[in-house]
Amino acid sequence: MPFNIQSLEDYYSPRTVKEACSLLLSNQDFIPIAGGSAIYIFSAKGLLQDVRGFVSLNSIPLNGIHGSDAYVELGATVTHQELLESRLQLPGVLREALLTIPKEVRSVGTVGGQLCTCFPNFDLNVALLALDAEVMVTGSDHVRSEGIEKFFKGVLEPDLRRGEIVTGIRFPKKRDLLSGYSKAALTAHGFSLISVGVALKVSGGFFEDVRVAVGGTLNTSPVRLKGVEGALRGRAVTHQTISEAAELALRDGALNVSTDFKTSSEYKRHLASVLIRRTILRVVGL
Amino acid sequence: MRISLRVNGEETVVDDVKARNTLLDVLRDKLNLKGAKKGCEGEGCGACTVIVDSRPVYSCMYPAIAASGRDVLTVEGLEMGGELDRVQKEFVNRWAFQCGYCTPGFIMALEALVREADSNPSKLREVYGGKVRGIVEDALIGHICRCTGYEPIVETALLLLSEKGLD
Ligand SMILES: Cc1cc2nc3c(=O)[nH]c(=O)nc-3n(C[C@H](O)[C@H](O)[C@H](O)COP(=O)(O)OP(=O)(O)OC[C@H]3O[C@@H](n4cnc5c(N)ncnc54)[C@H](O)[C@@H]3O)c2cc1C
Ligand code: FES
Ligand code: FES
Repeated sequence: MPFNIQSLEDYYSPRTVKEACSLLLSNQDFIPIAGGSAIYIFSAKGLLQDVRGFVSLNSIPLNGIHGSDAYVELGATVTHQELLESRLQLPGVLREALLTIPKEVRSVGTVGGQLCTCFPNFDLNVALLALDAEVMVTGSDHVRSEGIEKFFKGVLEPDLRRGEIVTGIRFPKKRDLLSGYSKAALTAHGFSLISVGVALKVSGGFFEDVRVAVGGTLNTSPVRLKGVEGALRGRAVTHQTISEAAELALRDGALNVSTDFKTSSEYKRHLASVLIRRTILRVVGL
Repeated sequence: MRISLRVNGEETVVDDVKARNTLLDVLRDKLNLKGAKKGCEGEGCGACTVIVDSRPVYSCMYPAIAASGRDVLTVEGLEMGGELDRVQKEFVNRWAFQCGYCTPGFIMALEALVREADSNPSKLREVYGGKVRGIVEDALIGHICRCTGYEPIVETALLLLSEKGLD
């Protein structure tokens, strides 16, 4: 990633995951393709790596959406729109994040394509991080699963080895989960400057099980702000607790951001802090 | 590679499609359908929007080969027997365009929305919490009009939805 597909020659439609993995393993300049939306735009911008073949994942049945009492499981090629329209009761953070993505992109972009691009500005990634999802990976001779935090190794750098594909993702289904998503961008359908996904529980007026994920124009993949989470967990649900916790996002080291032509690093930290405070207040109903 | 697909209701075979070609390349350069425009190539201007299997997509980033076997509808496929369709007529009535460059994209977005309202109105209500303005904004947000004629387009969308009982 990213790619130049001008010298692209081959397009394979394998029928099984195993077949896809072995095609990828034996051809260094082949990549998987799902919706293609990220690949074609990166390529149109004339970016880097030469690709000679596509291995399409759309001919493999990886598009299931399943919910049990304990888990929600999504196949890698489920599109954003299919997820939004599914019969599952989606957690607020997921539904709200999906709705910030342009509809034309939701029609084609897939859960796996979003994850594997590993771009901090992608919204579904931030929501899935807040939901503590687990990524399921298959290689030609192994299957593994990995926590999403670890899967996001770096910008444009998913934790995937050659010949591996993501087959799906799952996250625990929690009763009484309160969750929400907020995004700040310069235009109505622009990439986020900063976005925030929160998922938490409240029990007897105290915070429990809190996750705060931040994405946007970061120097890293989306991150969990453990300092903020720690300042909430076990504390009473009050304006003061929430404001104090949100302020911790301003600290050096909480977010790795730089000044760029759109915004200063201070402004990004400020946005993160404000969005964290507002999103938590909103989901707990204060 | 050779692909076959349905374009505006007609079975169509296209030869010599390269894996790097997009659906927009095929429509404009091989099928001479110039309605869908290349406005930005990947930034989300919406001028290239067409409908594939009832869903709006940006054809500038839709792999041509992935369209094989699918049903593609472009702005050229809307009129029937020389008559504009409902959405197009409403665009004309309201002057919902100026230079017209973005118009095929906006029209296809609204065509997709009308089909959604026909096939699954309760889902639309559920996803947007019953907020019709939210439905409209979501349908149009992926489109840019540089002549800034958004209001008549939004009004057209609200009218079309109200005709489907969504208001
Ligand atoms: C105009 C525009 C606006 C956008 N706006 C937003 C936005 O506001 N918010 C947002 O969140 N996103 C946005 N996106 C990004 C969009 O969500 C992604 O492009 C999409 O999710 C990628 O999915 P895909 O299936 O098309 O991926 P592809 O383009 O098919 O693949 C992307 C990458 O993932 C790899 N890959 C795909 N599937 C797998 C797999 N299962 N296993 C291993 N590797 C795999 C591919 O090799 C490639 O490296 C936008 C995109 C565009 C073009
Ligand atoms: S040309 Fe496709 S989104 Fe602009
Ligand atoms: S009418 Fe000119 S760009 Fe929209």
